[in-house]
Amino acid sequence: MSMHMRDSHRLFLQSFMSRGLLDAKEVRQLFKTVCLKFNEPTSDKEEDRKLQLLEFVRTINVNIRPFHMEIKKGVSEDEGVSYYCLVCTNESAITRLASDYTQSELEFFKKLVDQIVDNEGEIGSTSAVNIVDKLDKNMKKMSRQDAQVLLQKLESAKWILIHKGTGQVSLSTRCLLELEQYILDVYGAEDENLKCNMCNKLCIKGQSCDSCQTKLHLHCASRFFHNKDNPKCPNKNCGSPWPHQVPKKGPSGDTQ
Amino acid sequence: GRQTAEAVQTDFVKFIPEEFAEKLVTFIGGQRPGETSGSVRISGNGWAALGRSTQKLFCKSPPLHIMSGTFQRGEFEGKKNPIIRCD
Amino acid sequence: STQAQKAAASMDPADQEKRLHDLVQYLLIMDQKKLPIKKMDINKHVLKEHRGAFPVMMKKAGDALLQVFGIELVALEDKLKGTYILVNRVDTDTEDLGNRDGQAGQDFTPVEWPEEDDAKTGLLMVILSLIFMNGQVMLDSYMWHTLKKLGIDTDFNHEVFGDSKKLITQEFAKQGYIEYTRQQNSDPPVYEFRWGQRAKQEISRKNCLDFVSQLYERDPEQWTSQWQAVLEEGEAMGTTSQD
Ligand SMILES: [Zn+2]
Ligand SMILES: [Zn+2]
Repeated sequence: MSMHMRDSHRLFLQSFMSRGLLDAKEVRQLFKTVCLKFNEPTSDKEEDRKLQLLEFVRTINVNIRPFHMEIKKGVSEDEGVSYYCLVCTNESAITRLASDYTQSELEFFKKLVDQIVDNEGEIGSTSAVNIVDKLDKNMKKMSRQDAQVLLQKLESAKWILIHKGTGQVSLSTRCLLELEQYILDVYGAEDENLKCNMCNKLCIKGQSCDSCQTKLHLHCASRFFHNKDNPKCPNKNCGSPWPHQVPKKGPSGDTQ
Repeated sequence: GRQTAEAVQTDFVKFIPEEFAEKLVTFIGGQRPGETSGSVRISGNGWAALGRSTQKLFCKSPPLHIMSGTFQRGEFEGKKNPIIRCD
Repeated sequence: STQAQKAAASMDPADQEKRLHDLVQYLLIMDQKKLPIKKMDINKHVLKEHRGAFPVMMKKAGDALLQVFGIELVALEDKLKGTYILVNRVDTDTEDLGNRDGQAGQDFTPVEWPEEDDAKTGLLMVILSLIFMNGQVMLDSYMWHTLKKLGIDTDFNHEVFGDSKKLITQEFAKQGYIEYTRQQNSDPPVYEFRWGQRAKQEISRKNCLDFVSQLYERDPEQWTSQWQAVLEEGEAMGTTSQD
């Protein structure tokens, strides 16, 4: 099986470069579009198409991995929906040359992540804007309006989510995927559990056992406790009754 | 003969920038003087729509947007033993 | 050059590979602001003590960018010699696919740009078209006069573009989309607008003429001097069609 890139792969990759994040439906649409454009046949059967798509993405990942890039799949902490993101997989002197954001804007963002992780996954818009007061005095000053504009920019770029109704600010699936290692390294101290017991991935927003810190994503909890009358902590050394309401299984979105 | 035919062909249509601007305003759907008080106005949506329809005429490479590693891990208040990576 | 080849050969193969990977990542990141990338910076941030191998490394990086991303690394010339830009060589247009497939709802555009970018592209298209159709050069006074007719007055803050004069004469110029040069010995200064090297790489005269022709609902051949310029472009490319 050739791992050679063709124009179809390149357009697929460029789409990810420009969009950052796609949901499962968009990925399927994109795959269909690029195959159509470059006259590459796709199977009529959905199952075979899925395999074709997996192989397609694998080819791209093999080719971009040397450049510290990867197309990764993540699950949103709010709704358990699958998303696919092109992420940067390293931190270096070169990544620090990125210029989408200024030094102060990045300082703001760093503190935003700080507060969001500290607050179980979301903070209010006002608290977010007030971060300008906490910036280092040596940094270029930011006004509240600057903060508003920055938050909008971060949202458009799909790094954060701002709830339309409540204005709550949280980190997007793209952000969690790309900064997973960073967050685990910086905030994953011994007494703070930031990993989901079921899927072993980063978990900021979820449900915790009162006795032992074991944490579960909402979607992992809903799957694990499905049809269980007396939900108990999955930690075998604990077994305490699970103190939260089990989230209902949402619309299945997409498997894989 | 041939020379006369060529003479007729010379600069059959002349480009007039003002005319071009006029046609653009109509095309984008901007407001004209007289329709409202003030001069021509093309909205942000108008300009963006024009841009969207002409993006395909440019061979622009989509830039890479990253967040990982764009800032120093640096100092953290109150956090125990964060790993400060150096590369 | 053999000197560069010697320098490259003297590198530890593993180290050379790592630098190549860093170089590709560096070039993609530096493309964010669309400012031409300087050889000096490439040497400072990536190649460092191995800057002697610059041509070899750049060739390898260019090959990788084209092979994996479909992006071409282009060396600029003349005043911008020693700088590089990235140009897309993948055809990203999927608008006509709906007809081919027969299925409706092909509303997915693979490559999307931020709204701010779209607006600037719209303005840029207008400016480049004006320059080209005017005989490939336009005086600044005429440009400002024409832009006023589109609601852009450089004396006032523009609701979409802010400081439009700065955007046009600095940002677009620095990015290489336009050349904004002062006429020699002009006092008071008179400036001329021309297509910049990036514009020449990213958009063809043909596309420009087609755009204008569609707007006027005319055949492109009716613009005789501009059509002639398109034919010359075709000859220079060694092909008459865009493929
Ligand atoms: Zn989980
Ligand atoms: Zn427990």
